[in-house]
Amino acid sequence: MRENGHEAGKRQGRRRGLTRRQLLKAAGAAGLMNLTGMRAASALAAPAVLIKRGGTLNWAEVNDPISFDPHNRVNASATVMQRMVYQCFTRQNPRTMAVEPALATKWEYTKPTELVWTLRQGVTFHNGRPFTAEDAKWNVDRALDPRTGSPFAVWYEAVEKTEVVNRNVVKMTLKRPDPLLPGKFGAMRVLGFAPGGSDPRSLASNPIGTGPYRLVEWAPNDHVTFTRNERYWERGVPYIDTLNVKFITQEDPRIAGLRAGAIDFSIVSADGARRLAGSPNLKFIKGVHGVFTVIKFHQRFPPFRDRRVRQAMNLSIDRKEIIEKALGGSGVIIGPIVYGWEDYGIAPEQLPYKVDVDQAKKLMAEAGYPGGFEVTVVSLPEGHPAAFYPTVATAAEHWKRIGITVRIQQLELGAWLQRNNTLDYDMLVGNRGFRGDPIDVLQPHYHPKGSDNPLGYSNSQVQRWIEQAAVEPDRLKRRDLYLKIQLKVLEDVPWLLLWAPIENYAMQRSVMGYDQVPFDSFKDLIWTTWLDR
Amino acid sequence: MKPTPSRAAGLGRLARRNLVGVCGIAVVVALITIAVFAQRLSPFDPNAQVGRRLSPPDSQHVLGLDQLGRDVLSRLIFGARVALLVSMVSIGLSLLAGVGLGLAAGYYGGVADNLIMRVMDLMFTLPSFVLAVALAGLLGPSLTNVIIAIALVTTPTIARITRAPVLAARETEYVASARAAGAGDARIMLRHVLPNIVAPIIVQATVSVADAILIEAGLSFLGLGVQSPLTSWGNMLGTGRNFMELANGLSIFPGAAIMLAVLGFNFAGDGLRDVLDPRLRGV
Repeated sequence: MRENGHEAGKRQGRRRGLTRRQLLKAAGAAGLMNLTGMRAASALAAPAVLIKRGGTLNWAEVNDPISFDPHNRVNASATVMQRMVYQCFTRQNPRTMAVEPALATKWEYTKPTELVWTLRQGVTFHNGRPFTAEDAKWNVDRALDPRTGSPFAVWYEAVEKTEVVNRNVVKMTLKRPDPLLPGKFGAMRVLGFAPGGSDPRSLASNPIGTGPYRLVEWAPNDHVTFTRNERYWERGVPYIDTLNVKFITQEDPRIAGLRAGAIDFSIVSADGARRLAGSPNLKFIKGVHGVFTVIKFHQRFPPFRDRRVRQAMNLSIDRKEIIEKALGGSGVIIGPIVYGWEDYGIAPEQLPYKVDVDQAKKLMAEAGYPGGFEVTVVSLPEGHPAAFYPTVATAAEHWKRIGITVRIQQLELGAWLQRNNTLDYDMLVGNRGFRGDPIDVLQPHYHPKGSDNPLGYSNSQVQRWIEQAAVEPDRLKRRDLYLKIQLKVLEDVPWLLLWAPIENYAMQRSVMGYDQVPFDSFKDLIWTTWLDR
Repeated sequence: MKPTPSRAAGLGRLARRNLVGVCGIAVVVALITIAVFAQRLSPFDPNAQVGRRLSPPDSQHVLGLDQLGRDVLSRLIFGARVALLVSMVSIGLSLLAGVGLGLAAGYYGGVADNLIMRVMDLMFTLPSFVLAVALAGLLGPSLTNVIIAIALVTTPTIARITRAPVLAARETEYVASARAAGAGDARIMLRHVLPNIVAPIIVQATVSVADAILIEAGLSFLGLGVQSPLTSWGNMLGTGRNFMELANGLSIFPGAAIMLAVLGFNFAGDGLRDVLDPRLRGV
């Protein structure tokens, strides 16, 4: 059930029977905020209702962050936790996806290869130190330093150098025009800003940032506790004092915790939401999520080098059945860009997928594999909420029809990440997250020099279109190029694009303001969430 | 060897007196039969997705289908094979190690006894399941590693059960006679002592198989046990609990299978003890 703040306020008023005095007090507080210019962050602000501050949110997450190093993130779980602590030049609004100012108040291309950032004044780190241009430079330099080993440094390869102009201005000189840089810094996947000169090893476990929450305690694979940053620059938020994040991979204990009231907020599967449907203390929201699941091919396995084999594998899988089996039906079929990412993606019903086993067999025979072959796929274990195992197990059933036998190697998250990041597999089921701009998905995967192109996929047209799009400042022209790339990629099948989940969040009725599943999956809306207790 | 009429009558009497043991042995025999003939008995391939997910039981799929549309009965049948394979092999290994260590400790006494039994005591300080979890976590989830982990944690019990009667046996006249006749230590232990102390070891081994089934199921439940495509009851239970309200058979059936197998081996162990231990005959 979706519930906006206004409805919540009305319900609250009815239930509690607000007195006239309480209402006047609330109105007075709102008036005072307007008079003093104290407004809750414009983009994040919840509608004006009687918001209660304070309290503790017991929030269950599936995966441990693994590290709080702000310049070398390899997993989405780290990003979710790190966003509570760290910030960057820009950010993406969790509701609209628009790039908006964060630690930079404005940015300007003084020439196509020069980007000037004006930094927000009056921002302090959690340790009380003021945030300056020196800090910004140190963070950018470290994130892009090859020794840091960030898998996402490639996004910023256009940056030649970063210079401090004065205390509040940073200038970036670019090797080539990159009109998409502000959005890339907003994706927050790659880097957050810590005090310049920090010891990276210390940051990995004791993060210091400028974010709305600061870390109190992290017990790996158990919990993280955050407390509200009293010095936070964005006035009015966050509302909740303490975030107690428990890492519970298995769904069953999360469901038990939600039922018992020990957990306030958690992601649940579609089956989990069905199980909890009758619980009077809970409410639910759901929405399409920008993380999408794919099966990757590696060129080291010779059959995958032949496009006909990949096309045959593509033709023999039934994506609807995979979604049904893996997600209980709670997912959407995807192309190279998830539909819903502004207007870049192709609508599921327009995607050229079909199941044609006869044609697939013909292609396999033409490619020289009439009897099929045997291949090992790397997956997370059965029962992991990422649903990789049921996805590939169902696909494997379909591939039996064209003679392909799949052995499923189930690895724990850490081992799976290692294999994924080092491209050490013949075939791997994994997912990719939302990025600042679709180019950040298309370039690494479909450009011959892409960082996540295990197949070594190379198509001169696709390469040219990607390179054009990367420097094209006009969004609509970029969109046209993206469409061309998508159609070509769908033909060549360098990856098997499968599904994006429709995510379900379950929460106690007392959790207010978290009324939308953000497309980018990050939990920034926690900052404007409050507890009606 | 065909039992003589008098022995057959004796066995019949024993069976009547020990119905629980007979039931246990019947369950064990049934399980072994199912495990051996799993391929023939199973109506479907245990990993084949044969219908709509979470389908309730019907005439074609008598225990229903799981979350991937796999036939639950077929998976239970193949699960019996894994449960028995893991438990039998691991107990076999722990018998080899435990009996060897127990014989050596009891027969030689002194430093050897102290050394062996203190190591065994050390292993007893941790609950066997916790130790198995630690070992399986260390070795990584696989069939072989589960077998190794279970064999290691069940060895101390076998060693202790073996050592106690050896202490008594080594002082007996037949051991002294064998020694006087020039028999070596190994021959005395294996040919003279072991046959005389085998009864409690057999009983303990039977009960340990039940423990092994439970440990294997527990490890697989936690994701530390056998991995797909092998089917384990513990694995089925672990996944099935996520669908408790939607298809409770996914938890109940493997749970019942584990319970039945463990009960069967425990009852069989009790029955064997009654038969093999002359002190308990007629009790």
